[in-house]
Amino acid sequence: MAPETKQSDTLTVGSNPPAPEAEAGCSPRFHPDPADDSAAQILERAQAGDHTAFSQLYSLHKRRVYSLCLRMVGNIAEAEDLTQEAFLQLHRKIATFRGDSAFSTWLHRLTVNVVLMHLRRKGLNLISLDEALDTSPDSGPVRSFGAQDLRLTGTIDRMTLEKAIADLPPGYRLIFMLHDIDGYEHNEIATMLDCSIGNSKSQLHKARMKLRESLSTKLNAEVLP
Amino acid sequence: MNSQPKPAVTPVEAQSAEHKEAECAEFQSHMAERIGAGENLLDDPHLTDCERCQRLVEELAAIAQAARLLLPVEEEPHEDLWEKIQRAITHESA
Repeated sequence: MAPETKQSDTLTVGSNPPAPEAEAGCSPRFHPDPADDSAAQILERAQAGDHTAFSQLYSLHKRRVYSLCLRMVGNIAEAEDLTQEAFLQLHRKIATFRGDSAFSTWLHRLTVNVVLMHLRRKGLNLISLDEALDTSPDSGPVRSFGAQDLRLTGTIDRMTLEKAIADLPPGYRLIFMLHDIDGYEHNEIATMLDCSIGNSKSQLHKARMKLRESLSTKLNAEVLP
Repeated sequence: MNSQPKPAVTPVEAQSAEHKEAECAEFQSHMAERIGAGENLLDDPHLTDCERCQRLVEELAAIAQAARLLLPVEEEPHEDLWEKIQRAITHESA
């Protein structure tokens, strides 16, 4: 996906995340801000400390933030806690938003930061995802030779895909989500996760292989009596 | 004139199939590493000849494409969440 800009960002994980206004170069595939004046006015009032405006901001963005958290952690309770944390951080930092990027992009990045911090605290090693997540020799993606051809194209429905993504190991899910769903580039992911671009690419491949394996199992199960 | 029935797979064919499997195994086992190193696997001669590995690559691309088309869906958080956030904000401000 072509990014809006190619500016590199300086996100670090494991310490306090930088103010998102420093990360305007990040360009997830994301929805544009509501263009109407009222959204801009709500934002402006929230930045000035208007609590009602902040609650309106919550209403406008809660689904987006929550869904992002849910996809990243795959757990409803955790996703709600992280949504809460994201809005708390937003409340603390909203005055620093200067409009260098779309507000939704800024909030998206802030939320990703919150989730990554959480995953770090849980002990997920984002630098070396393979070692952290796949310690057993047979837990990696299966190879395809000798297997039945799957012909997945055109057969993947939303629920099957969602389930397969939810079942991915956390590190694979994170990489897949950041790249294939949210549209981050490998250099952005590498910066976010403090890993090499090559690691990001190879992990994404493994994540897709895992998904393929999972989807083929699910699709075959649907076909078999 | 009692001719023996011809085997379904001749030894030569079996050997060729084994060789093909080995080539696919070799190609697939190094995919992640080569992708990580920045190689474009679409240029690999094995892919030109091997329908199975071509299909694998196509399926991986299809999965990525499906993810882009089908997701993200947006879901609603629990309705109590705003109250929790409000409480936390009040607590922080106190």
